[in-house]
Amino acid sequence: MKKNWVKLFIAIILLFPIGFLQVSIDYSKKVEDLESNILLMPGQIAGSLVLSGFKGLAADLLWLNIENYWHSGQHYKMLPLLDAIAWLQPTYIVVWAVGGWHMAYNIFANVRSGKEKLISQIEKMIEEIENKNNKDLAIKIKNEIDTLIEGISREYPKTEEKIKDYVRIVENCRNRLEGMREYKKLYETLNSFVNIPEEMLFWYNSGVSFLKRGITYNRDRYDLYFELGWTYYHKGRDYPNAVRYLEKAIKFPHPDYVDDVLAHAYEKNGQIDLAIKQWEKLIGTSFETIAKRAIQTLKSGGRFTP
Amino acid sequence: MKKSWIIGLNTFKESLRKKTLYILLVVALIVIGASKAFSFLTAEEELKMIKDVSFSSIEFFGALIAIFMSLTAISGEIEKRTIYTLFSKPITRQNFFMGKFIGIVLILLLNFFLMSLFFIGLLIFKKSPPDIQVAKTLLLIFIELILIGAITLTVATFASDAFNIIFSFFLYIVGHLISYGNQLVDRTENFVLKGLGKILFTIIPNYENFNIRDKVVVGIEVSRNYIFKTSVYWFLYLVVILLIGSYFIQKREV
Repeated sequence: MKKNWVKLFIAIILLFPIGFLQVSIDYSKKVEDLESNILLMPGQIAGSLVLSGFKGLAADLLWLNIENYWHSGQHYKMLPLLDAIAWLQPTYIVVWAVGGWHMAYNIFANVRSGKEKLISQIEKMIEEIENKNNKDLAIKIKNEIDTLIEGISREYPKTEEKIKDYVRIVENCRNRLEGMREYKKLYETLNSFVNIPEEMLFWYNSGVSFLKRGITYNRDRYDLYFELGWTYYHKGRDYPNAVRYLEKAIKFPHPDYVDDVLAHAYEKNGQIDLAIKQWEKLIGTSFETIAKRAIQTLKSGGRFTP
Repeated sequence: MKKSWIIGLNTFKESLRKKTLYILLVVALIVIGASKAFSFLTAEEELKMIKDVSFSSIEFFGALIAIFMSLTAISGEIEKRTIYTLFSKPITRQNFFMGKFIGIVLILLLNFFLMSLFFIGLLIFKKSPPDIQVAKTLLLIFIELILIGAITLTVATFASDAFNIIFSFFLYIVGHLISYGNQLVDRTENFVLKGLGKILFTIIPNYENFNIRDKVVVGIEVSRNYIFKTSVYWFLYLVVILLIGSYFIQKREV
C-alpha cells in the first residue's frame, strides 16, 4: 500500500515540470504565431466556448455562405460574414484579401452602377422645371457629380488630401441643393445622386482599412502588404502609399510580380532611379524581357508605365 | 509487460466486436469524403476545406471513439464478472490496467490509420500530396486522442460510467479553452485567484497545445521544436495520468 502512495506522489511531482513546459510551449506559440487569438468582444466568448477546437470548420461553413452571396450579387450581406471569418481565423489570408477586394472594387463598382438609372430620372425631371435658374443649378450639380463619379471610378487619385477635396465638392453640391427643396422629387433624387461619390469613397476606404486590419494579424508575410499596395496603386492611384506597402511586402519571401508592381509604383511616384534599380533586380527572372525594356525606356527619359 | 500486452490484444479484439466503433468510423469517413463536395470553390479554398473538415473529423470522431472505448473497458469486465477470472490468475492490477491502456491505444491506432489513409488518399486525388506539416498535425491529433483515452480509462478506475462520460466531454471542451482561461487569469489582479487559476490550468490537460490544424491549413509552419516540446508535455502528462490510474485501480474494490 505504501508503494501505491509513491505513484500518487510522483504524479504530483511531475506536475511541476509540466507547468514549466507549458510556459515554454506558450512562449513558442507566441513566437510561431500559433496562439489562439485573444477574445475581442464579450459576445464573442460564447462563440469560442461552443467552437472550442473547431474554429476552422466554422470559418469554412461561413465561407460557403459568402460564396452563395457572392454568386447571387448580395455583396453587402457578405460583410458581416467576412468579419466573422476574420475573427475566427485571422491568419486566413484569403479572407482579408477577398474582403478588401470586395469592398474597394466590387461594392465600389456596384455603388457606381446605380448612377445611370438616377441620371435618366434626373434629366426627365429637369426638363419639367420652368425656372431657368433652378434648371441651370440642377444641371450644374448633376454634371459636377457625374464628373466626380467618373473621375473617382477612373483616373482621380484617392490620396487622403484628394479625398478631402472630393468630399468638399460633394458637400458644396449638397448645400446648393438646399435651394431646390420646392422640387421635392428632384431634390430627393439629386440627393441620392450626390451620395454616390461619397459612398464609393467610403467603400474604397473600408477596403483599405480591412486590409490594414488583416496586416496587424499577418505582419510576417508579404501577401497583405502586397494586396494593400496593389489597391493603393491600381484602385487608389495613391502612389506614395503604394510604394510604402509594396516596399514592406518585398521584405518577406515573395513572388517576382511583387517586385514588378513595385517598379511600376516607383515610376508613377516619380522615383525613377529607384524604379530602374527595381527593374534591375528582375533581370534573371521571368520578367527579364520587360525589365530590360523598362530600363532602356526609363534611362532614355521616357515613360514606361502607361 | 507480456501479460499487459496479452490483455491489450484481447481488449483490442473485444473492441472490434463493438458496433459503436464501426458506426463512428463510417460516419467519420463519410464526413471526410463529403469534403470533396466543395469542388465549386477555387483550388486553394477547396484544399483548405478538405483539410479543415478532415482534421476536425479525425479529431472529433477519434475523441468519441477514445471516450466510448475507454469508458467500458474496465466497468465492462466488472459487469460481466470476467475480472474475477482474470485476477484469479497471476495477473496484477497494474498488468490489467496497462493492458487495457494498450488495447485502447491499438484500437485508436487502427481507427486513426484508416481515417488518415482516407484523408491522404483524398489529398493525393486532389494532386496535393500531404507535406510534413500535415504529418505533424496528424501526429499531434493522434497523441491527443491517446491522452483523452488514458484520462477516460483512469477516471473509469474510480467513477461510474455516467460520471465518466460527462467528465470526459467536459474536460475535452475545457482542455481546448485553457488558453482563453489563461488570458483571463493573467488579467486578474487578485493574487490568490491568479495563483489558483494557474494551478488549475496546470492540472487540466491543455488540449489546445495539440491543436495546430487551424494554423497549418492557412500555411503557417510549425517548428520541430514545438512538436518536440508538445510531445514531451504529452508524455509527462500521460505518465501522470497512468500513475493516477494505477493508484486507483489498486485501491478499487472489486
